[in-house]
Amino acid sequence: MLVEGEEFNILPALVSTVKMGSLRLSNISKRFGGVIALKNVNLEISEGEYVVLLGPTGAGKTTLLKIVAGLLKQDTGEIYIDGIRVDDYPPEERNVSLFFQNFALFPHMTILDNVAFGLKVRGYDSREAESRALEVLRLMHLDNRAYSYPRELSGGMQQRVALARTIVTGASILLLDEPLSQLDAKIKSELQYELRDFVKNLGLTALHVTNDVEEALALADKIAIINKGEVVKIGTPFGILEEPEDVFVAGFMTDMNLMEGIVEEVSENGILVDVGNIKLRSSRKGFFKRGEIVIVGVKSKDFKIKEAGGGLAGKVEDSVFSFKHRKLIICLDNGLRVQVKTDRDCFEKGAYVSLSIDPNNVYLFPCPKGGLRAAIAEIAGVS
Amino acid sequence: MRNTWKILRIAILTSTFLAFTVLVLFPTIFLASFPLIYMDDIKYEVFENPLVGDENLRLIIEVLLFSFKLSALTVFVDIMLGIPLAFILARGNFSGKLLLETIVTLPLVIPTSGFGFASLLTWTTVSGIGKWFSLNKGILNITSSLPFIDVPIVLFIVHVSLTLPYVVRTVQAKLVEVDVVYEDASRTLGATPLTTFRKILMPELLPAIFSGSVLAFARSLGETGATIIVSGVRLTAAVAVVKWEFEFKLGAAAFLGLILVVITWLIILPAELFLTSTKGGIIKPPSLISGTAVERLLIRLEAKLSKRSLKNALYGLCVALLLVLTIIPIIVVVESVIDYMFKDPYTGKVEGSVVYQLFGPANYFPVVLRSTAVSFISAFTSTYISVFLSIPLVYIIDRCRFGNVLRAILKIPLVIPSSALGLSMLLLWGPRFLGLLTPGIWLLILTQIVFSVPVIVETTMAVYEGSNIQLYEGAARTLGANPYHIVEKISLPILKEGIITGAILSFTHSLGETGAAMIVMGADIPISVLVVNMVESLAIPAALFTSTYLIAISTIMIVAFRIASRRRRI
Repeated sequence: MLVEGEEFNILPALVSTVKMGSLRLSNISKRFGGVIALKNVNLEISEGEYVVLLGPTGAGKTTLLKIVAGLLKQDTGEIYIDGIRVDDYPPEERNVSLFFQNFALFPHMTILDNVAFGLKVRGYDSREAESRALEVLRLMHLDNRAYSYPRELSGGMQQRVALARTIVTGASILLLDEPLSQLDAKIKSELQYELRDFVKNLGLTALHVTNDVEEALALADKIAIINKGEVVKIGTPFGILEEPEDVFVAGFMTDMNLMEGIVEEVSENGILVDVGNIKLRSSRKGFFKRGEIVIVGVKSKDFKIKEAGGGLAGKVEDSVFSFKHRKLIICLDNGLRVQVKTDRDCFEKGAYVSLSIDPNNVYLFPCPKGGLRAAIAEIAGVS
Repeated sequence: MRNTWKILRIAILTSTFLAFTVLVLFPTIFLASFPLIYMDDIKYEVFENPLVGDENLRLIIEVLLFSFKLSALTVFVDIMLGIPLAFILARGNFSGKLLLETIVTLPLVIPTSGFGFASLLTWTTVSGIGKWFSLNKGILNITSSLPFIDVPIVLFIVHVSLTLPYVVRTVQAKLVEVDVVYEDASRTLGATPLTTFRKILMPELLPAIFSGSVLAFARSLGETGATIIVSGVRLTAAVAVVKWEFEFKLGAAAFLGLILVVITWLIILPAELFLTSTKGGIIKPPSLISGTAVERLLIRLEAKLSKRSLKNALYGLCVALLLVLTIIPIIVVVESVIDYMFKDPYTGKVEGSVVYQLFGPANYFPVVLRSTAVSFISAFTSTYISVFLSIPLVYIIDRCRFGNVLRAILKIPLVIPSSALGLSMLLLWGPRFLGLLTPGIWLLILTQIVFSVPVIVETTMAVYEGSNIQLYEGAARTLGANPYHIVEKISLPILKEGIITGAILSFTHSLGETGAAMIVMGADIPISVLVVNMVESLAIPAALFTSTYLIAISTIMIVAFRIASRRRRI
C-alpha cells in the first residue's frame, strides 16, 4: 500500500522533523527480585538500521525495550541515544517512541485525538497537531476513520493507527514490541512489508522485538538473538541461517534435525561422527576432539531422499502436507526420527526410503550442559 | 425426586423472600411513609406549634444546611487526600504497603463512638497532642472553627478520617484495574507524569472518584457515633434525629429523618444509575482547553511540577496526614488509659483513675460487661440470621428479572443515616404502628439485620460475579450431582470467602454502630453507645477504658478481615 515513493512527497513536513538516531546499549543488566531478566546486554544500532531482537517468550525482550524507552530503570549499564547518555532521562525526554504489543490506543479518545496526543502534550497548538495527525492518517489510508474510536476499528486498522501515533511525534528511534503479534497470519504477512517500507522510507532507526523467526528474517537488517536475558548472537539474517554457532541458535532459527553423537575420527576430509551407529561425515569447520560428545544438525531440506537402496535406510512414518512441500517423518534403522522436506510426492506412509547428506551440510555443535534434551527444552522456551 | 427438589427450591426461595421483605425491605421502605402516618404530629410540632410557631422548622433547616456544609467540605478533603493515597496503594511497591492499607481501612471497622472520643482527647485535651508540645491544654478547642465557613475543626477532622477510606478504596480498586500500558504509552509519546494523569487516567478514574465521593458524602451526612461526642454544641442533622427522639419531639425527628432519607436517595439512586450505565466505561470530560494556549500553559506547568521530589513530598504529606488522623488518636487513647490507670496524673487523686471508676462506688465494670454481652449477642445473632438470608438472596438477585432493582434497594440501608433507620425501626415495630416490640435487644437485633444483609450480599455478590460459578455448577450437574450436592460441594465453597468477609464486616458494623442503636436499644445499652453515655456523664476514665477496649476488639476484627480477604486473592 505504501510502496509508491510519491506518496511520501505529501509529507515533507513530517519527514523533515524525523532526525536520524543511533542507539547504543552497553552492559545493560536487570533483575526482578531473584530472577535475572537481562545480563550484560550490549547492542549497537546505527542510524536508519532495522534491528530485530529475536528470542523465545520470557527471554527479556520486552524488558529491554522498556528500559530503552525509560519505563524501567536498568540495574547497571548505560544507554546512549545519538551519543548522549540518557539513563536519567524520563521517558518523555528520550525522543524514543514505543509501539505497544496490544497497541495501547487510548480507548476514550478518537483516532485523531490518539494520533495527535503526542504532539499536543509537546505543546503544539491543536490545529497544527491535528493537521499533522491527519496527514499521517492519510498516509495510512485511515483519514476517513479519524473520528472513530479505537474499538470500532479492525485489528489491522488499529495496528496502523498505533504506528501513526508512534511516528507522528518525529522521534528518531522507533521501538516495536511484537507489533504484528495481534494480527492474523494473512494480514500479518502483508503488513510486515508495509511496516518495513514505512520505517525505511522515513529513515527511522528501529528496534523490533518478536519471537517469530520468519518475521525476523523478513524484516531485519540485523538480527540479535536473545536467550535468558543474554544476547547470544548478532548477525545478518543470511549469516545467522548459514552459520548458526550453537545449538540454541540453530534450533531456534532453523528447522534443523538435532542429534547427539560421538566424534570418531578427526581427519583432513572432515569429522566423522557416530550417531547411534550411523556414521555421518561433516566437512564443516570446527574444533572437536576424538571421543567428544557433539550435537549434529542437519536441515530438513538438506536430506536427499530416494527409493530404498544405499545411504541411510529408513521408513516413512508420517507425511504432512504444507504450503509448498511435503514434510516426511522418517524413522531411521537405528530408531532415530528425522524430518525431511521434499518436493516429490511419491513417498507413502510405510514406504522404505534411503537418505543421503552432503558432508558440507552436516553442522556440528559443541554439546551444551544438560545434553540435547535440555537444549531442545530451552529452545521451546520450557526451561 | 425431581418434584421434591423443585418444591424445596421454591420453598427456600419463597421463605427467603418473605423474610427479606419483612426484615429488610419493609423497614427500608417504611421510612417513606413517615409523613402520612405522622401527619398531625409533624404539623403540630414543625409547622404550627402553639408555643414556638415554626421554630422547629427553622432549626431543621439550620441543621441540614450545617450538615451539608460539613459533608461537602469533608468530601473535598477526602478527594484531595484520597487520590494520592490510592496511587500509593495501587501503584506503589514497598514493604509496609499491607500495613498502610490496613490503616486506611481501620476507620471502616472501628466503632465510631470510641474513635470520636479518642479524637476528642487527642485534639482538645491536655492528654492529647498538647501534652507532646508541653502545653497545658489541647491544641484545639472543641468550639474552634475553620475561619469563614464556621465548621468546628475537630468535627471536621473526625469526619475526614471516618470517610476517607470510601474514596481511597474505590479509587484504588479502579486504579488496579486500569492497565499501566496506557500510562506507559502516554509517557513514551512525550507526556509528563502529571499530563498523563490529567489526560489518560482522569477519564478512567472519574467514575470511581465520583462513586467514592457519593459514599463518603452519605456516610458523613449520616454519621452519629463520633459526631455526637465531638460536635460540642453544634447539631448535625443525624445527631438531631437522635436528640429530638430523646426529647420526645417525635414529629420533628421523623420529619428531619424523612428529609435526610429523601436527600440520600436523591443522591445515591441517580449516582447508582449513572454508574451502572457507564459501568467499566469512562467519563470523557469536555475538552474545553484541549490544544489551546491555556492547555499549553498547563502542560508547561505540569512539566515543571512533574518532579520526583515533589511527588514524594506529596505522597509523604498524605501518608503523614493519614497517620495523624487515624493512628495518633489511637495512640493517645491507649497512652491515656495507662496514665489514668491507678490515679489521675494531674491531681493525683485516686477517684479520677480508671480502676476506681470501674470497681469503686461508681462500679462501671458490671455495666461494661453487660454492654459487652448485649453488643456481642446482638451482633452475633443478627450476623447469623443475615448470613442465612443473604445466600439465597444472591441467587435471587442473579437469577430473577427484578434482581437489579432488589440490589439497588439493598444499597439504601447502607447509605441512609443510621439514626433515621433506627427511628424507622422504632416507629414500625414499636407501639405507634405494629406494636410488636418495645426498644430493647430484640429491636436492636432486627435493626442490625437491616444493614447486615446488604453488607453480606454485596461481598458475596462480588465473589459470585468474579467466579464464573454457573459454569462449575453446570459441570457438576453433567457429572451427575443433584442440587443439594451442588450447593454443598460447589457453590458454598466458592462463595465461602465472600460470605466470611461479609460476616466479619457486618459483625464489626453491628458492634460499632451507634446512631440507630441509641434509638432502638431501650435499656439494653450496647458498648458503642456506652462510650457516648460515659462521655456525656463526664465519666472520662471509664470512657477511656471502654474506648480502648472497643478499639482493641476492632483491631482483632480487622486482622481477621485481612486474613479472610487475603485468602480470597489466591
